[in-house]
Amino acid sequence: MPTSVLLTVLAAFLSAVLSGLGIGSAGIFVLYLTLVAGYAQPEAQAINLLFFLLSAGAALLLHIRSRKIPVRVVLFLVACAIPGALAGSYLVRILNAGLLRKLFGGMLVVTGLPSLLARGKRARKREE
Amino acid sequence: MNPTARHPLPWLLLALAGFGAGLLNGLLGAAGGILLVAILPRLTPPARLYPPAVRLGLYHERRDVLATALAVMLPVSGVSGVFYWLNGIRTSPSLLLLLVLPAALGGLLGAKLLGKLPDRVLKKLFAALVVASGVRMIL
Repeated sequence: MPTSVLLTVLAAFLSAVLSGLGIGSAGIFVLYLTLVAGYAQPEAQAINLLFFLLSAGAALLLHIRSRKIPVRVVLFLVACAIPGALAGSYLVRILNAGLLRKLFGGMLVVTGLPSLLARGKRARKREE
Repeated sequence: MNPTARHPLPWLLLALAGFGAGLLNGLLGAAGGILLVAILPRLTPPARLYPPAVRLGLYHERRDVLATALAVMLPVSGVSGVFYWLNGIRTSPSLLLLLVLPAALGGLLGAKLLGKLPDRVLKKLFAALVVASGVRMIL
């Protein structure tokens, strides 16, 4: 089996583990596909969407049994998210790939930094 | 005054969060779930002030919020994928075939791990991954 295939399977598996944990792998698989496998950004995003269906679908089978998922709220959020997805899928044709990538990167930093810098309750207690 | 009357679920904000998550998912092919995970716990009032929040499952532990975000983003990703296809952005069928097994096994393992990893580890792990990815894409 060629190394690139093994690497792709490994990257897919690790990204799927993160998807199963619940935040959709944070686009890690998109990163692998663009930076390592050499796919164009829009195609990598399309692959990631289908990949997410597989990994999240498998994970959801377990989550439905063991977690409290509010069905009414989920249905409401899905109904609101679909027009957003439509708009986003249309915009992806208009915006260029470089801009998309930077936009994506900026958004990841903005969402991740507060949690990364936040100190835990234990650390705060120790200081007090 | 009945506290439930003062703390209804903020449906309008939930609608905006849903729209935003869909927009990110359609535009970037990922990351809509991150938005929901960050916003959902902030939109729902504490269960002691709004008992129906308990019934709705929105104010339980982080793991339930993560599972809820996953349940929302699954159909939305399907819709985004269809629109990508309709817009002429196709994917390689052979690559998708290669991904089926690692995606399914990894997804199941992730779901199992969600019940075992401590909350703070989950939080820091995701934050570190998200920031590292973001910096690399900007540079």
